[in-house]
Amino acid sequence: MTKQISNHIEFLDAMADAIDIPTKLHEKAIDRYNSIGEYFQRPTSGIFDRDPVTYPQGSFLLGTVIRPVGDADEFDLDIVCQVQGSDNELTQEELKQLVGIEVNDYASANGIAKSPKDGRRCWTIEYSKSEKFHMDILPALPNAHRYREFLIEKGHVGLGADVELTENALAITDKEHENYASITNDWLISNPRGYAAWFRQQQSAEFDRRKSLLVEDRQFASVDEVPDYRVKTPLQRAIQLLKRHRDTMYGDDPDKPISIIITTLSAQAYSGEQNIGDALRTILTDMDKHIADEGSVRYVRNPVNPEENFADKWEEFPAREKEFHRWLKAAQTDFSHYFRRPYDSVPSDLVERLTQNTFDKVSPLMALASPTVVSPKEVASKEVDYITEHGGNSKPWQG
Amino acid sequence: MARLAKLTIEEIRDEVLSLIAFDQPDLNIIELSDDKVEISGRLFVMPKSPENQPLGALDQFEVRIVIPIGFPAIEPLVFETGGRIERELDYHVNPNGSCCYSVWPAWLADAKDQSISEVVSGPIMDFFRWQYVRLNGIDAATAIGERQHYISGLLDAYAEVLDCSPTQKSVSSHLKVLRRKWLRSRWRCPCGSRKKIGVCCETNLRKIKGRVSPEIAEIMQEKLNSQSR
Ligand SMILES: [Zn+2]
Repeated sequence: MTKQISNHIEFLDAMADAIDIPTKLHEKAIDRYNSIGEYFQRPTSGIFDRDPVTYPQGSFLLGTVIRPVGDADEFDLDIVCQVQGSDNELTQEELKQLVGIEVNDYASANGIAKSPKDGRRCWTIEYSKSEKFHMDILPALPNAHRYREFLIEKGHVGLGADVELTENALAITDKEHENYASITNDWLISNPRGYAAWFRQQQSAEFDRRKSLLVEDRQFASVDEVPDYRVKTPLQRAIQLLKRHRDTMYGDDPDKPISIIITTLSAQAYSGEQNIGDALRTILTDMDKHIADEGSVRYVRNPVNPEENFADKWEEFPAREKEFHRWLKAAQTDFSHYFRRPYDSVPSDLVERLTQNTFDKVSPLMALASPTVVSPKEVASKEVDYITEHGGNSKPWQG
Repeated sequence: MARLAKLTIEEIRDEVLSLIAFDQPDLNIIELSDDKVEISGRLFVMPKSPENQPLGALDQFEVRIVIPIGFPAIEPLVFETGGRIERELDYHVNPNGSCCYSVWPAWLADAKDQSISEVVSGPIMDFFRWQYVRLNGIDAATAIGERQHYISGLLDAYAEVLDCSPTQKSVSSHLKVLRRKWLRSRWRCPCGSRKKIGVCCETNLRKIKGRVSPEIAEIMQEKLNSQSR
């Protein structure tokens, strides 16, 4: 991050980079979940026979993680622990406890002082303060078959037949489920890898293009060697900036727009733009058009499970719908005004939203660009030169 | 060939909302009635030259824009309200502040989509970029160009779209052909060669017909009629 900044796009890319999780910490997080995964797979593990697999979900998987606003705060690392089994031989409670035993053993074997927390759906491991993150482990059973049946039964035939978007669907436990302690086949469903596959499809061309650029740039020998997390598309960058904008606007306010809504609507609006400026323009102009109306109910459907409405709380808490639109308006105004000013004259409102602290990390890179003072007439002449050469300025006419 | 959209006033409003969401954040809807959407505020003029992009907006003008029901067949009216442009024919502003920003039907034929965002970022912003250049001491009429007043400027603009000579006769005979639903090879060619279209300009005419639908040709003809009176 020593590249000088000489336009709006480079500035916003650098800001997004500065709020992203540092590569070192990201690699450490990967080590952590690999380590817990290996622990679950050791021969003496109580779930060894059930062939446990662990993998990240949520913003880690999507590449849209952002640092908490206070640098002292921790990252959430959400991981899935999927074991082989079926809801006709296990209760939700039994699965939760089966995984819980291993999580607890892992914590004590690794000198983690705090005992893991038994949450509503996850186990939470709190690492020591210096580790900077905690891990939420979601026990789950594979559930692709029933998930597809469910989609088809609800009329989503095409989606139900889509292998990529459904093959990793899960059944998960929930302490507040009425049948938590009995054998039933009505577990909650979840599909984080399906969602990630959908998200990837929304940006696949740009993702591949950027991987090739890293290879051309000789940072990697081939496209296959580039780890996904080393590539950041304009969609991912835009989402990171929008989430940070939201975080500083709302803090812990429960009515704040939730990340999954921002992420889903952004990915739906994005149409392959190759830089963060064009991406923000399209996303901020179009994202609210992807909210569906049915009577008085608003829908932000989960693209891999249209029966799930990410905006389902808006009916009960109308303030949340109102706040979504208030936030969107503010984000439109803040980012749009930046593009209408010189790139190194960032509006104070935008600095405040992306935090002064982050801005201070990035702004020295703007000073590196040699300032060339151009007179207004020279600027106007450059416009004329460009128009003369390329045409495309329509001519006024008096009728 | 796509027909011009017939937008409801709500659809026009939605297009305006898309425009002011990001591209023109300092414009606001000031009136919404059954027959028009009116917006006003500051219009940002953005650079065309990539070299100027890091500077952000080149300039801003106070404007009022009226988009009538019937858009895009009917053009939006644009007024400069800040008094920065002299109300003179030479600067293409009428005494009431209304701006003669383009030959509308020619834009209809050329535009890749006829949305309000395209109009504003296209001919309307071009008009104010022209004014900005002029206000910075450059003779924009010479440097960028302008249309001559009244019918001769109109014929020039049409001739570019129709790829014909800028005479009333040539333009009219081309429009006559283009206003028909189909192009027949046996018709006399509008270029004046006295040959049949099929053995003369057919290829070129079909290409032009791809952009100038009968509907647009009709709008062009009406404007020509009103200027000829
Ligand atoms: Zn001919």
